[in-house]
Amino acid sequence: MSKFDAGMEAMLDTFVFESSELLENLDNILMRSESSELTSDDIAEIFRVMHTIKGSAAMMGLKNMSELAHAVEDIYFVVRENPDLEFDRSKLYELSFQTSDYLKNEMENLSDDSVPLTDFSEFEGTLREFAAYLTGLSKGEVPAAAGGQKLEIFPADEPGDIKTVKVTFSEGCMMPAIRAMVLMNSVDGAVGTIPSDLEADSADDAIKGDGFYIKLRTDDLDGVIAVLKDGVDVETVGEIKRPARAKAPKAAAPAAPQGAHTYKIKFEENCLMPAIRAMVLLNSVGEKGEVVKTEPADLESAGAEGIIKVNGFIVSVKTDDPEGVLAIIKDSVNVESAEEIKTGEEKPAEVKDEPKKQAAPAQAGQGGASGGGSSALISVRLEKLDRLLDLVAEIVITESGVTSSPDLKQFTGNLDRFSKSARELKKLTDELQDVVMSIRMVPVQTAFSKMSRVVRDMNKTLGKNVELVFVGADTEADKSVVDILGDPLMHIVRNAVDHGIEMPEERAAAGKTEPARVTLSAGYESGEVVISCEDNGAGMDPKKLLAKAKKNGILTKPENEYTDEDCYQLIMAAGFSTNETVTEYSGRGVGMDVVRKNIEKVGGKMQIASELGKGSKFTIRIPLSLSIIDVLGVEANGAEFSVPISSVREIFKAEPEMMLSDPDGTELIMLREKCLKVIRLGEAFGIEGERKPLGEGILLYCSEGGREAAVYVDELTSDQQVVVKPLSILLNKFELKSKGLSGCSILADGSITLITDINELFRYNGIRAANEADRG
Amino acid sequence: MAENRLSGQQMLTFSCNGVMYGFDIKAVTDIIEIPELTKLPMVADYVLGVMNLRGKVVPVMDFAGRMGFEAPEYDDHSCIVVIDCDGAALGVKVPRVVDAETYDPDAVSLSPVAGSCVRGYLELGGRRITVIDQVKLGR
Repeated sequence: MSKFDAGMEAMLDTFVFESSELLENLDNILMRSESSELTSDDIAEIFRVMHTIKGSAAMMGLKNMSELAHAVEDIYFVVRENPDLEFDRSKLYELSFQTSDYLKNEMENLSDDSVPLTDFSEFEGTLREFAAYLTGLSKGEVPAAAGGQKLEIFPADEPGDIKTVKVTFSEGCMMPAIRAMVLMNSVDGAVGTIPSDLEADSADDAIKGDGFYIKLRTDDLDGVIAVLKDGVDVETVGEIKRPARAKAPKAAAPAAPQGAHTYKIKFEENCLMPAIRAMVLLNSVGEKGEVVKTEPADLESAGAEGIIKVNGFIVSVKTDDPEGVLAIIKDSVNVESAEEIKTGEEKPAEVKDEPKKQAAPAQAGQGGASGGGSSALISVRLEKLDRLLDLVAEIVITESGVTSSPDLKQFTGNLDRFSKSARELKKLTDELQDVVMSIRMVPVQTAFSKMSRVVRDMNKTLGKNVELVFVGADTEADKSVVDILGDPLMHIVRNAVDHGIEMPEERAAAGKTEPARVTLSAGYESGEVVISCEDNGAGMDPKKLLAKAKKNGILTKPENEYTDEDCYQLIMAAGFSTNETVTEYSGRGVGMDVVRKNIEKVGGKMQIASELGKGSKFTIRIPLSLSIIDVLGVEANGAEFSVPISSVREIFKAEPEMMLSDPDGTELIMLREKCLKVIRLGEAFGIEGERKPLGEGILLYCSEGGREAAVYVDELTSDQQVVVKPLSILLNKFELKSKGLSGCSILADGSITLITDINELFRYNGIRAANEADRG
Repeated sequence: MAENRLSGQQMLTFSCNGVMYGFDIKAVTDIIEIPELTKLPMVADYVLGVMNLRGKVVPVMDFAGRMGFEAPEYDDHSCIVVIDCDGAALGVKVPRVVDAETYDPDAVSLSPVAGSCVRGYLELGGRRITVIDQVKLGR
């Protein structure tokens, strides 16, 4: 069985995404405020986060998450209402962090049906206990009144015929504002309420504090009061008489529910839960106008499904844009037909005996994605950006196709204006391309800030009081790069805190006075993003590393040939761990191995430097953007290829005195005391063609992955930037990648160039890496 | 997993060396003129290269070559049928596209040869059409 409501699959991604952002935000607030002060803004923000998660989880039908969020919300409600309350703050943070973790885990497992929904009831019990403890503390104080200002119940310009009814809700009432909304809909002639905006976040508190006032015009006040008394959670209902006052100056036009448009909606027959669909629908319609009435009124009641299936779902909306509303309704999931009922007077079965409830428009979406307050940011699916990038590339290609069309060459007239426009177009498309590229760039901050949490948790358990410092967190890199960074950084930071930093007493013994610190920094260096993690801990002892590696049997060359640098690299070898004991955080010896693989997979490199007693530094270098590289266009036996410039060290012409060949006839070349094997690119790729003397063509001295050789090509044709695309999976059977062709790219004129992978080319053609040669 | 029943009601037929072949029309995404092809080294002869299909790099194979037939005559009517092989686009160069024809999927006699590119045979209007399994063709 699916975990969430059928029909909500489409929302799953959005839900997970928004909730993750919210939880991320929550972690940030908690982390920031834990060491300093929990401001009322922070509390309000946490409250909002929990409220939103509660709402959207409920909408998804994820009762466990919704209830968990609710329990936390209750705690923060008490905290918010009693700003001066003294309580056990560490407990609050412990519980909040735990909640955040639970919710995150739950979301990770959402799409996996084999993992059942977690039962949080035990933890919720703990939360409730804490909430009760807080409430108990606060009871001693003055009851929390919503502000000191006197509530203005009777505005001066109110017409005399308007009656005011005060409603109070029982203490346990969960969401009085929603109850109030329902009540509003159940009485005739209501013209206003206090608080006036029931959807405002503050409405719940205002109602809890001051009660709820309904302004209405009616001849049957007793009848209305009777209806109100029947409402769910309603405790008292009574008319409030206006105190004697001066005559109302003028009768303001009351906002009667006129101008309401009524729509009848039929859901598809196979729609599984029409009532839920209806709720979701209300939610989206609510953006266009005010939902005045629904029929059936109680979407949560058991009978609602049946009524909707038989009679359809009727909704009245007060709106300026009836067509727009209709369009929204028609576009909604599972809606079969929708029509506006013109006779606005049709009021089906007005007074009902059953208590009326209206679907609580879930708060999903409301500021969901905006994370830290209302910033001018939106979230976009990466696929859309990829598509946009593709489109822009096509536009650029098409543009050059139009402006350099052969047809133009035949045209003999004056092309001045055309040329001017064409230039203009070119300028614009170039700019468009730049902008789209830049959209994909995100600050590494996102990857960094996750580390604060890691360090905080480790500090709690290990007691090392490590301080985490960010440098250059606003450095931007391609989104895919930043995403990839997450895991490696986590491993490295954990290692730094767990293995690198000493226990406080050891530090004291070593005479280290400065606080234990891990510094994460980011910056650019020649087209690469450089991320480093530096700690001021114990550093690594190359000898120890070597001994350990020997013990574990992972040495690949004689012990005395290992330089210090080599020794550090050993920790990235599979099956290596320096900590004698395996801790919760590290020590299994798989971490660094995986880190290196992940980084190498995206064309990155990792370097390690360390000084015994001073600390270690891990540096990751990743190409700025994974997809765009500089290449040299070359021609070999009539075919064109592109060689990544990063692999090329030197371009030269072979002089006769440089050329030699070994007894097998292998062509070699001497370049400044270095003997390089010559690889003819055309022959390596099996392209037939005339074998030209070496001196006629051009040699590229390439080095990649420790392998070096001179690549012979006939000609250099261009020097350009290309967007690398992988070759079609249908070509996998030819194993082009391992033969030296890594991908392809579409050039500005629409032609395709094939991109070589020098490392694979050399490997395939028997060039050994430097360290392999040593052993050979 | 292969379906027992053929989906779709129409097929795109084309001729090669006088024999009629058909692709399930749902698998056909484009029929285009033969564009400029970039040759690929180190691949089988029937792989003609890659082409730029609206910003996508799509491999192109020669149908006759793939099936091991003699090279047919190509002329102005020759074109590339772009088909969808399990999500990957593949251009297939064919001598001539004939028509899109409605057929009854149940009338296709499935080929007994396992792993064959031929899914089955169909008698339509007195002609025999060899129905091609585009996914196996791409492999």
